[in-house]
Amino acid sequence: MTMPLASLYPITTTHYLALSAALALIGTLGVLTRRNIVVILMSLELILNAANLNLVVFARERANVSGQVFAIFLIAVAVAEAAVGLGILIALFRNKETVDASEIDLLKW
Amino acid sequence: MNAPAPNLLSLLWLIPLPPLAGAILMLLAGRWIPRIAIGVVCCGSVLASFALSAAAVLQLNASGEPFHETVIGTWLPSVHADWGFHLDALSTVMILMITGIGFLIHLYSTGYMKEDGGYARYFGYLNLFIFAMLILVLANNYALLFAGWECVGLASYYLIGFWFHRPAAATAGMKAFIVNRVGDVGLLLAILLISTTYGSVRFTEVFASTTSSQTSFWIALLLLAGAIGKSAQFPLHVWLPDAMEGPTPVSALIHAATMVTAGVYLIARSHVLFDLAPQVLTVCAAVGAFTALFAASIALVENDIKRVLAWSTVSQLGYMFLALGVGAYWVAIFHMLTHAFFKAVLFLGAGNVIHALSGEQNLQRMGGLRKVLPRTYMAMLIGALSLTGIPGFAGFFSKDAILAQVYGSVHGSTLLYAIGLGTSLLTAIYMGRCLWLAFYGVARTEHEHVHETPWSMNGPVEVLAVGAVIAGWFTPRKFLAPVFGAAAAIDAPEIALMLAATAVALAGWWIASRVYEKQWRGAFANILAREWYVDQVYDSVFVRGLALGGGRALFAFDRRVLDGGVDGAGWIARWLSRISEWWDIWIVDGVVRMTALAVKLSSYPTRFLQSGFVQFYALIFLGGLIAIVGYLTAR
Amino acid sequence: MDAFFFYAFALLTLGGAIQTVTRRNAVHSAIWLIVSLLGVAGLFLLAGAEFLFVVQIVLYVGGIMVLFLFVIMLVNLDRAARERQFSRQWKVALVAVAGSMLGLLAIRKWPSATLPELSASAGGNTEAVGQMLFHDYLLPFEIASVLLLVAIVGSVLMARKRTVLSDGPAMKSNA
Repeated sequence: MTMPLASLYPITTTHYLALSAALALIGTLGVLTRRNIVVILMSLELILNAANLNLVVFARERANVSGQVFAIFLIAVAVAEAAVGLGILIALFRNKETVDASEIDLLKW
Repeated sequence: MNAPAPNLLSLLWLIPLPPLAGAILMLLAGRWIPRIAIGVVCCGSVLASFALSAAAVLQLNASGEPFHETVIGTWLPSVHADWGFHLDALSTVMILMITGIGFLIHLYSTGYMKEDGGYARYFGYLNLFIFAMLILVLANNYALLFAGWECVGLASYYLIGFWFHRPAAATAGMKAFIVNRVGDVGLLLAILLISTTYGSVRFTEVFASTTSSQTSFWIALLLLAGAIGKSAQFPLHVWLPDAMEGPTPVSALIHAATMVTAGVYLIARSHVLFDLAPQVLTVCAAVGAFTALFAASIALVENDIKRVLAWSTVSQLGYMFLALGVGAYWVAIFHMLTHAFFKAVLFLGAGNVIHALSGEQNLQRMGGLRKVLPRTYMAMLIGALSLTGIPGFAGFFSKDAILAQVYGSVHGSTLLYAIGLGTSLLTAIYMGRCLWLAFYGVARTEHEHVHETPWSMNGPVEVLAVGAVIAGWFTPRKFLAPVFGAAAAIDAPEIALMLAATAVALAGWWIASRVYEKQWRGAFANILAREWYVDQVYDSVFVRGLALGGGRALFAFDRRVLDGGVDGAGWIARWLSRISEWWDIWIVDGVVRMTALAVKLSSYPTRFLQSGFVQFYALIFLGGLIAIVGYLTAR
Repeated sequence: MDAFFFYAFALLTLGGAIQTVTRRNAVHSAIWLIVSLLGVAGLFLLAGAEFLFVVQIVLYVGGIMVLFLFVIMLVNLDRAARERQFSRQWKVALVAVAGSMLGLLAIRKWPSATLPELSASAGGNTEAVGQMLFHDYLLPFEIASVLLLVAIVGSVLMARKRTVLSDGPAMKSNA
């Protein structure tokens, strides 16, 4: 397992991939860890952005624009998801007066 | 008589019957018969026996046979035991003595027991006793002899404990019976040995063989044991002094004339067997000599007039055993006869004294009775002189014969002679003391209306007194020769011995005259007063030790071992139940609880997973993703 | 030069991301997210996706983040800001994430080939994207628009005041 970067320069695909991996994992950490649902949703955006970054770098590597096209679709999906998610959040807030994820435990029963 | 005299010899069995009839009548129907009739019937029955006995004896003499046997039925065929009766010189002496003296005592009793409530019962028992004694001496085999022996014991129990409402009398009766029983075991074993050794218990067959065998020693020893019990020798003498609780005529009959002589009779009758075991004869002589001295020593400090006479009886029986032990059987019988007379005189005389003083028996409270009871005094004086062996009186001849035999016979020894002589001295001392305390001096206590006794009581006493004088004038040596064989000649200086004996007796009387009023204190006197502590030893060893101790031991065994076993079983059951309870709680219930516990434990992780917490679920997603990717990568 | 900008934008991105995840105040988290998104946009530019760079800024930052901020304002988060921010499983999550990072780094062969030079396409990047979008991927394009429509309807439905979905007290419709 050879982990350390062979070099910092020139920038290769791997650098981008490492970056997007880190970004995705930070986002995952936020999803798993934060109790505020708004912040969870924001962390979710981070994950999606990481995926976008992957698509774009592979588009460049293979000189194929379809990667970027797919990234556009992904952004659209992200938008839809954010909108619906925030709608659910508002409905939830109306009923429970809280945005604390650990208070939403109806699945326990 | 015109009709030919009936052959009484074939009707020997008739002799014991009149007293038997009298006994049955009195004991069943006595309470409805008037006193006069009771007296007449019972005295008459004994008189009838006496007459029959005399007639039979005369016929035996006339026939010239050494003995005659009559059998009226078979009893135990396997050992040749029949309902058989045997008359020879020895049994002649016995039956005449028993019925003669018995009759006189019956006569005496009509006066002595006049005011007693159990008059009929008394005479019934007395007749029963005569009957049993006659059976004993007339039997022709050991089995019938044993039957009579036991019946005598039974009758003596009744008579000693006649006043049964007095605890002392009741226990005295029991003591007599039990101590006798100890001796009777020996006798029974002897009879069993005889039956196995000789195949028969009939006298004629048993005495026919003269070869000694291994069992001869044991037979003789066991017979001796039985005799010791019945004749109150050491160590089975303890019952006789206590037997004085009975009425005085009973003491006279049983303890002077008849029952205690049964032992002597047994040994005399079985002399053939004893000759086969000389060591046992030595034992017999030793026992007799020791007992004589032992009993005389105790009599020195006795204060009850009857007990003095009781110890005297034991002592004189010792003389008889001594005579038997040196092989001089006829001498023993001779002394038995004379003793019967003078001892009966003494007892009945004592009875007179007691009757006159309205029940007083303590010598220390008597005195000066010579003037009030002169005839009784004379009779008792004669009896005492005879007992102590003053020449001219019956006792002198028989006692002197014993001492001569002991001195000179091949079986005798100087030691035994010395003991015999010493006992004579003591005899004179205690007898003299007794007489002087009762009849001389000043009356020590006032008694109300002291009166002389009626003729019914005095008569027999006087007759017996005459007997006490003249009975010794006829030596029965030749008479008893057919039974015992010709007596062996003895090497003894007869005259010297006679003088020695007389001197000793006179010395004793003189000593008594000087010391009778003194009280003997001191440690040794205490030992004598306590009768050498024999009773105490028996009590602690046998009564407390064996009987009570045994009882307690058995009780403890029952409590600890048997009940302990039961308790143990119960304890085991409880313990087992505890085990099964534990099993039930922990194992059986445990399985059930284990199931519940398993469910409970398995619920923890399951519940943990069902947190309702979305982020936790997301974490699980991540975990699963890592796992899958890792798996795929690792491939 | 590329490397410099790459690292600069990378720093922006990651730094913003970390701050997003860790801020107590939700508004602060939103602002930092904007920073992170701007960083990503820069990276898009570096990777030769100019159209995407613009779309990212206009849509993501200008649309989604504004939406977020509006919602944050609607939802009263003052009280939430005073409570505990991290759930109890943060340690486990951290470990899992770190492990994943290491794992991801491990499975990729280092180094890889360098990126090819950017080739300018005819009409520029935007035209290329447009061409592909409306020729090759027309159907997905239409579907994506339907998706957006559904999302609009759905979010309106979710957020309106009528109590259709829950047991709360009935509120007058104000939509």
